[in-house]
Amino acid sequence: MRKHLFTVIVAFLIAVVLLLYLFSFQVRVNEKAVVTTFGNPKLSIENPGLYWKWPFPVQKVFKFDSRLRIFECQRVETPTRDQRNIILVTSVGWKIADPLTYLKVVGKESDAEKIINDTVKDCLKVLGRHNLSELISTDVQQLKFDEIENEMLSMASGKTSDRYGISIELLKIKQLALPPEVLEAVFKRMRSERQIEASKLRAEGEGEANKISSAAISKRENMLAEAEADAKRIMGEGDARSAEYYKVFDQNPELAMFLNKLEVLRETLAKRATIVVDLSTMPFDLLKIPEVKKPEETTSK
Amino acid sequence: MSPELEKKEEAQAKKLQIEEEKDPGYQSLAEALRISFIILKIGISIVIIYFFLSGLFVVQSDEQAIKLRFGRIVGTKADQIIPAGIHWAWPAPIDEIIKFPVEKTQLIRLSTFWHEPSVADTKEGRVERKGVGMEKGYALTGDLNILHSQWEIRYRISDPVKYLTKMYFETEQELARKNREIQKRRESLFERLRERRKKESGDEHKKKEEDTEFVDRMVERAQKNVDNFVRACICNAILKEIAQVKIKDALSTAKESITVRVESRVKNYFDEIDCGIELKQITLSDITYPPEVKEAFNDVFLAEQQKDTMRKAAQAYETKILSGAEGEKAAIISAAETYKVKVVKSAEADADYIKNLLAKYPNNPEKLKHFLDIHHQEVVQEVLDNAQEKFILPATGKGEKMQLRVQIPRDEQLEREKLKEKF
Repeated sequence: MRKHLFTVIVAFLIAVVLLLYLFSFQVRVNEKAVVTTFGNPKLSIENPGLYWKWPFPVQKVFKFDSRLRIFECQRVETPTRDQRNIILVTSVGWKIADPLTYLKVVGKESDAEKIINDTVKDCLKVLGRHNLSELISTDVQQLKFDEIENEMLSMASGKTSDRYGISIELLKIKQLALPPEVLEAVFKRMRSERQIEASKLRAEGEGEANKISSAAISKRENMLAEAEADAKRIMGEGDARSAEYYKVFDQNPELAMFLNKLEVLRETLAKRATIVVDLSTMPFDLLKIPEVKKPEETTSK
Repeated sequence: MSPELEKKEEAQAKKLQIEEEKDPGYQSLAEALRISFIILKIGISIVIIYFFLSGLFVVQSDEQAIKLRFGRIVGTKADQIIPAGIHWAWPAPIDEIIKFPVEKTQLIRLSTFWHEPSVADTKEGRVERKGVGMEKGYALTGDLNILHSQWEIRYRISDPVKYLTKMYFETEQELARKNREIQKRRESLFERLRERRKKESGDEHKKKEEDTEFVDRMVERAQKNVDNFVRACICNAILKEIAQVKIKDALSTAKESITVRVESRVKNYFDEIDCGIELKQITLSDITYPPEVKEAFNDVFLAEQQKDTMRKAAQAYETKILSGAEGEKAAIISAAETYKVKVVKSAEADADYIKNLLAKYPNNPEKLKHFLDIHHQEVVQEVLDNAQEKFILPATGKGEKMQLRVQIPRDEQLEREKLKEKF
């Protein structure tokens, strides 16, 4: 009997394992499950753990990963309230909240994505209630980006949670662009804005340069005028002082006058003078050729 | 039955049995069964030992692990994380060990807002994106201008429990399978595109775009779900921040503040979802205006430089003028000083001369007159000497009038000087 005991235990264990395999299932911490009885979904399980069921074909278990999944919707062109068309790409974070409904209504993951895509497309209507300046503006007061996203989020999650058992937790606009036709116009505008800026800068440069140089010129003139004034003053001082000396001349005015005349004569006729004199002027009076007379003979002693 | 008969039957049966056992066929069968039983026992023992050994696992130093028992996380909040080291757990299907690279920094290079596909994309042979709106990525600035930027994001998994329970992620095999599927689809798509291009027409063009977009999106889906989550958060943050600034500022002074604000937005998003991811760093690796308007932008830089050059030239001119003026000013004053000195000195000299003269001949007017006559003569002599032209006319008889015609020659020196002035 001893040797049979071992095999019996092993056989028993194998049987237990098989039974467990047939009659139980696990729900992992990231999963939710639905148990169908003869094809009818009856029970949904949200908590992880080990559970019991009747084997197929009585009961069947469907498991779903219930965690957050990110899905990027197709890009859509949509108008704002002020008739500006924009292109949006929206990223959506969703999860299976109610597996029972999900199983009944949705089939595969790709179906779920299609549903979400269409729902979000629908929710873009929200943008029709807002102006473009509420999304894009240098004036922070005008911006309502976050609010608009929240509007879309609550609208979308409302549509999907009861109908499909899908809970949309996150809605973020991933890209915001303008239609291609508008793009070229934007480039044109950017170019002309830059041109205006460039001209402005050049004009400012010229203006500043002119300011600096004309300031310099006028300063120079001031300086020279000051200098001239100073010079006049100095020369005046000189004249005044020399006048002091000339008081001496008062003592003997004729002598002073005479000497002065001589000086003037000398200075004015120093260069390029043409002088016309007659023979009576000394020493030219000697220019008469003298008659040379023989001296008379005198008696000898 | 009588005991005697029973004993007889037993003995007979035993006899048969012994005879049976003596049969070689029976013997080998029994032998075979015994051997196979032993092998089976050994095999099962090995399996059981292997079963238990497979419960051993190693957690690396840069990892953390979580144990699931029948799908449920084992442990209380405090000790759910299994630290580094060698551990043992019941093998599947009882326990499951999941490891998380907690210290490893994940890097995303974001080229969503860049005007070319990233180098990585080109390597993988992505469809070349030609600018039809979205393929050339950009962000709109607050003043409705177009801006391209490249970013790098570093994040890590910080809380494995939250990450495991909240964020969907695929196993390595699933990702590999996805990639294979996409490769196949991309190849078949390219085939179709090539065929279609041969018969090009207008409507085909639109469908072509949709196809390439589809491929792009498939490729993105093959990225890890958590990657997509991070990308969605950061793209959204970048979008919102750039939509608030002027392009001029975004390209110059506001770069840092934009990065800081993007970082804080993304951190908030992560906190909101609370899925165990930690943002480590966001870097703005490049930000620029579109290539289409490059010339216009460069012209502005040029204009800035020119403005600076003009200012500097004017300043140089200013310096030159003012230093010249200083010189001129000095010259004027110096000339005045010279005049003053000269005038005073000359007056002094004249005065002294007269004083000396008078002192020399104080009481002798005749001698003074004699001296003055000689001086007079000297001066006239000098003057006559210096004269360029001298005309000596005969004396007339008294009372006669004489008419004089004098030809004054041209002054060569004056002519020369006048010519000099002309040039």
